[in-house]
Amino acid sequence: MIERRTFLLAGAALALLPQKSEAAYAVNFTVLESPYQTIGMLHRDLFEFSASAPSPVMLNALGYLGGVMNDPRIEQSEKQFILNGAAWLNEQSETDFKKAYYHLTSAQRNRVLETVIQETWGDNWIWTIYSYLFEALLCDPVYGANTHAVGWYWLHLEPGYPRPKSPFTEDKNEAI
Amino acid sequence: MKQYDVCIVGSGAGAAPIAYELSLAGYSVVVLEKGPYLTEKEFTKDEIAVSRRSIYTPRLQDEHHVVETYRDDGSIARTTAAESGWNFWNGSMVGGSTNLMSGYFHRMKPYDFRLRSTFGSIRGANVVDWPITYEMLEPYYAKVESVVGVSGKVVQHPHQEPRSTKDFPYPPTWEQPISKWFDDACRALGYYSIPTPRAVLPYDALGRSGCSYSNFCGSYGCATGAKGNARAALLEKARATGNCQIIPHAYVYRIDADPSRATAVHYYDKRGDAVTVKAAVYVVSAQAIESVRLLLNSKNRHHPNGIGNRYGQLGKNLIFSAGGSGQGRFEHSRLSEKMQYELMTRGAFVNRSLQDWYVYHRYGRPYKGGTIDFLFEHANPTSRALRELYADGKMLRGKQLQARLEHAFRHARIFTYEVFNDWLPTDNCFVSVDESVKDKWGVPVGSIRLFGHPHDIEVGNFLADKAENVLRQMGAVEISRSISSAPPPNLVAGGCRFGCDPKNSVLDPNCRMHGMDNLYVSDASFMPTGGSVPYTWTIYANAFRVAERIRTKLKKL
Repeated sequence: MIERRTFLLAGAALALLPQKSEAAYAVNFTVLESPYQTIGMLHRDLFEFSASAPSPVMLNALGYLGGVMNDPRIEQSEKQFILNGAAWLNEQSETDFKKAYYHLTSAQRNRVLETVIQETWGDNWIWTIYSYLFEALLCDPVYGANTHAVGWYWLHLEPGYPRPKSPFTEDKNEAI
Repeated sequence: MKQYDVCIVGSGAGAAPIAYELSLAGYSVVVLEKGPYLTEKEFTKDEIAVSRRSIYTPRLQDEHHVVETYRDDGSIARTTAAESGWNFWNGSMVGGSTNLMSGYFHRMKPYDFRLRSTFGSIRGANVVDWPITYEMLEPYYAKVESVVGVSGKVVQHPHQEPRSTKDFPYPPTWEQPISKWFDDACRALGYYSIPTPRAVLPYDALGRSGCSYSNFCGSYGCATGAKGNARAALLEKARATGNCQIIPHAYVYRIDADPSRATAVHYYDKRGDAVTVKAAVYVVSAQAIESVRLLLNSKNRHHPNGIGNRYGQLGKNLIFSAGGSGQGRFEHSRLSEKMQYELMTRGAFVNRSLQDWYVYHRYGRPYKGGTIDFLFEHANPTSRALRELYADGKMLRGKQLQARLEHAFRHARIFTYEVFNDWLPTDNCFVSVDESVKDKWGVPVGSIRLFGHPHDIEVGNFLADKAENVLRQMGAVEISRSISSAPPPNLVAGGCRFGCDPKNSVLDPNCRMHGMDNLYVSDASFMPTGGSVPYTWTIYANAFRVAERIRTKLKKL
């Protein structure tokens, strides 16, 4: 839950936020789809629920990652790395505990994370997951994440103006 | 086919003054720009689009460079930018990268124009004097102040360059309270605190709106027109004359030339159709690397090694701005309540520089030093958050990470500095063309060989020591630096060096190509050495100078 005091600090500018985000970038899907059940669980482990910070679910971090996977500005190799990392994380989980990552207990998942983070791929992959999680935390809500600007409220951020009215698309500049 | 008086390839700082001056003088001008025509209404402060997805530069899978670096054993490592992520593009839009600059405007100083004769040679470096003097360029620096709009305040210090006007035409932009802390620290240390001149209007002027202090300036397009970018400051006015046509999405791939004259320019338009343009005078202003690439790709039977490459000088002596950056953190816990409030004031500019060591003495001899600019950490929140991910080399997670983010964003602020010193020109840093790698149009891409002279790092560290003295005096903690030979892609120059001798330069002192009657190059590529300041003001000033030469030539036609 976000502290009430945090909301009060928002100032007049944030009152200009749209009531509802145009979620054209983030996508809706079932979290049972691979690799999102794995990454969804990882999001919770990396940025766990707390009294003040918004949760990845509140941010729609997984839906945002779905948008990243459709984004033509993201290199295909990066998208493949995201998929591979989820598969490798599950391989490590199977090796250690004979179960997929999202079926492990919290303590088991923590042990798996401690193992993979020692690997170069693991450190790089979790950094990559964090980079899009932080985008979901701090982007303009028009991207369909940072829902109701909870990330901005939490960190006392005021956005720059003018704010985007819609998410960028690859062909936006081409049309001008 | 319409015949223009002047055809300009590119629309940035080297192009716009020429389009402006000649269209105002009544000549017909066409500007060919590869990128889109974006204006104030398209510019938003969208970190995802601008900084995380780099929408103002081409996608690397479509257009990129080959990058070559030296391994420790001296062998060459070669990689395409699409493979490595090296990105040497800047602003691909009308007005070029001036749209995205922070607008730190420093003039070069008289000794920058005679580096070789003032400081002598340095082993392994191709340092030369410029073929013009500061005094010859000074009127054009002054012209940029009034036409493009530069705000600031002249203060006397040991390295203040001579000026033809007493002060800047516009007062400084709104200053962040930390500037006063900075001044106090410099006073205690005996340093000269200099208000940084900026190509940003503090109020409505020149037909443009003043700054809105959005807190997102560098890397972002200006939504008010306050930033003195080439489009807002010059090209819109050129277009308003009715004499200047600006064509966006025009990718120039070849220049035709006979032995002594350029005869046509060819570009692909937005639909991919080939279009030819003819003019009396041609100006290449595509940015240092791309101008060289275009001239090399334009080889023909008269110019078998590329236009302007008779003596193998084209692309040589590529330079960047040397130096690097550093930072310190101000913690609320060490500040009074008033100072905490001052620290967190957003939007205002720090506007402070040091040039005490533009020239300094060490080991009994004079050294060319440089400039240090001070500013806050960039406002981009995602980048700021990612910098907090590791503590003592360990990646943080969960509540530990959340606590660190809360602290970094709400109870502290990072103050940074940027060092600008000379990147010495050498035989080992240059641009060529790689015929085996093509862009999306099927045109060979530029190949960039990178090398930083060890002297550059020595000077950079000397200046960083001084910057850190100020940070310490101000009370910053966690002070760190990154001084290296990593090239800043937005501060690139050289490759079409100007000079008097065709055997060791590409352009004559007026930036006309040696041996070519009607072909000029006007961007940062003409610079034999870069000075120890950001280049944009000098590119603008030189382009106004070149415009005058072209105007004189056109009068005679």
